[in-house]
Order: sequence, then structure tokens, then C-alpha cells
Amino acid sequence: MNPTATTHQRRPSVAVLVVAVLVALGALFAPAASASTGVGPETRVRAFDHPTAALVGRVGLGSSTAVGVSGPSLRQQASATGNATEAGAGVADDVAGRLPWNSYAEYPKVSVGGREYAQIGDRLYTQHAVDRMMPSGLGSSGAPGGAFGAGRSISPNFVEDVIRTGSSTTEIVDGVTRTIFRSGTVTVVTEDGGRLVVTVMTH
Amino acid sequence: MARVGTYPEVVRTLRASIGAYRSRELSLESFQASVWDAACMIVDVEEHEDRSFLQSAESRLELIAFTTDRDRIFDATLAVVDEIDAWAEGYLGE
Repeated sequence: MNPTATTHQRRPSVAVLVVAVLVALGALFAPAASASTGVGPETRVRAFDHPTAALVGRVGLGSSTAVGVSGPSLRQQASATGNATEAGAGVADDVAGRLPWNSYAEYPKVSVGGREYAQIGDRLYTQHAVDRMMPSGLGSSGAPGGAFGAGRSISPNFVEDVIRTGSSTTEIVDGVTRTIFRSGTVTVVTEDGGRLVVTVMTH
Repeated sequence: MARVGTYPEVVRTLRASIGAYRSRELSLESFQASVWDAACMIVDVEEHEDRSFLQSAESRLELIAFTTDRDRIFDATLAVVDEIDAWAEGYLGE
């Protein structure tokens, strides 16, 4: 009978269609499954020896955290301590739009008025400021943070953000105008309208 | 009952630094380091407010040091030093 014959002829087509749909769905979901299992949800920070960012943690498809410690001394110290937090972790050199987070010795230096400063991005930093910015685990006596206490774990990117977006006040200190920028828990004391970073602190 | 914190030796050492700073035997920078080191040694989660207090006090000293004329710095810091001392007395239950 023709109707029956027609039905039998359609069955293979329906099966092929179902298989095609399943293959297409598989192709759609395969990358997500691979991404979710490729890197675990934990975040681990470790020093690394190349100047590119390292993916150390990933949760879901929409977020990832790339942190690292740059500079030979910091990498050595980070390896020794074996830990760092988000606030204390370094930011790798050459990461697009990010400033390197090193010890004072590793920044290029600029002399202004007979004084030496570290150049970080477009700003100049005193050694005092750079020492205070060091990751807390690296700033104790003998470490790159200098002799006076542990670092306060403030990266140059935080400082940059505070200067760009924070509120500001000015003080005349011994005849020199200092601009104090505040944002959240971070305060940055500067000269020359923010070009020269004198010190940083958290509250 | 008076409170006695978990780290009395740390705070006693800090109080010694307070005395040395008041008598100008200790520089402000060294005193700040003492305050910060004490804060870093108070790690018990139950005492996180004590740790935060000391960290904040150190930051206030730093702000005074860099936003005050040199000849007025010492006097300007004494109010913060007094606060730290009062906190230390309470911490030690004295």
C-alpha cells in the first residue's frame, strides 16, 4: 500500500535528522564541557619565569583570574613563600593595560632634581612608596620590601586607579604642594599633581 | 572581667616602643614598623578588629608623616600614639 510504503521511506530520513541534531548539539556543548573541566575552580598563585600572564584559576566560562609575580627577585621570594593572595599576588609584565609589580631595584630609574625614582607607567615612584606597595609576604626585613616592615600589598594598578578615579585634597608640606588621592581603603600621597607618588597606605 | 588578648607579649613589646617613641628614642619610621609588625602578629580571627585597629593607626601615622610640616610631625602623631597606648591597655586588661 502506498501510504505504508511512504511511511517506511520516511523513517530513515527522520533518523538521519535526529542524528544530525544530536551531532549539532554535541558540537555546541563540547567546548563548554572542556572549559569547565580544563581548569579547576581553585586559584593557585605561583611564580613563573616568563613575562606573560599565567592562568591560575578559572570558575565558569565568564570569569578567569590571571595573576603572577614578575621580576627575578619577586619570583624567587614567591617561590620561597609559596603563597600569595589576590591582593598580594603580582601582576605580570607585558599584560595588556597592566603595570608591572616589581621590587624597586627592578624598575627603570629616572632622576628628577637630584633624586632617583622608579618609573611605573607614566608616573614616578619613590623607593619608599614602592617598598610599601610590596606584597605583604615579601616585604619583611631582608626581602625586597625593604627594612621597615612588611609590604602593604598595593599593586601599581590599584594606585593608578586611585589617582584616576579617587577624590583628592591638597596640602602644603614644607612649601611643597602634595595631592592626596583617596578611593575605598587606599590613600596615595603625590606631588606634581599625581605624577610623583610619594607614599601609599591602606585603612 | 578585664579582657586579655591572645598575644600579650606582642602588645607589651609594642608598649615598649610607644615609650621609646614618646621619649624620642625611636624614630617615627621605626615606631610605625613596630605597630605594623604587631598588627601582623595578631592573626587570631577573633582579634581581627585589634589587627585592623593597628593597621589603621599605622596608616594614620604614615599620612601625618607625609602631609605635615617636618617640625610639627612629632606633636601631630602623639594623638595617634595615645590611642594606640589606650588600646594596648585594654588589650592587656590593665
